[in-house]
Amino acid sequence: MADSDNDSGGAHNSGKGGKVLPRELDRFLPIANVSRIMKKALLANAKILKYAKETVQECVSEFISFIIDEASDKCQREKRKVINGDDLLWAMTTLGFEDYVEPLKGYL
Amino acid sequence: MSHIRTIIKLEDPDLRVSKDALMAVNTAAETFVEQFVQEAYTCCAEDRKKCLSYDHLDFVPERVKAEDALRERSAAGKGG
Repeated sequence: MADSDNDSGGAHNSGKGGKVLPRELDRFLPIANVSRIMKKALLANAKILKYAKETVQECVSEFISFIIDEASDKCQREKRKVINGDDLLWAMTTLGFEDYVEPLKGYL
Repeated sequence: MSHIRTIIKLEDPDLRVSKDALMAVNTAAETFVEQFVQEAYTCCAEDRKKCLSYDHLDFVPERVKAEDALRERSAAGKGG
């Protein structure tokens, strides 16, 4: 079924001979989790194709790397070893995700 | 959140991230997916489809380096 949560990750997870590549798997959040968030954001009767789930799965990993890289650069410039919440908020603002900052302040 | 930690470790094994930073990334990632999917579904609705497919995600930009994206962004800001 197109919108099942039991997808094992599809194209991202299969290596040669159908074996799972652990390194490749690690790069992505579990597709069931991504699928659950996608469904939560949509109407109950909406169906999501597996390919769309896999695309979002990849996009969210890129998003995480994008933010972390920027925060990491800031820490390196300031000669600090640990990334904290403020570094991330700064990175999000710098990269154009300022809309996310206000809601996140409640968590920090 | 352990998956997010793993993604970060793959980026840079020496990178250390505080608990509150992990929490922030986790929440931001969730917000990102929700907004992304809602926008895609708007395209989907305009297309009169009830099924979200890859084509509705075609506003996903090509992968660009952060510094290039920021340079373009600031240039566009000055141009306006």
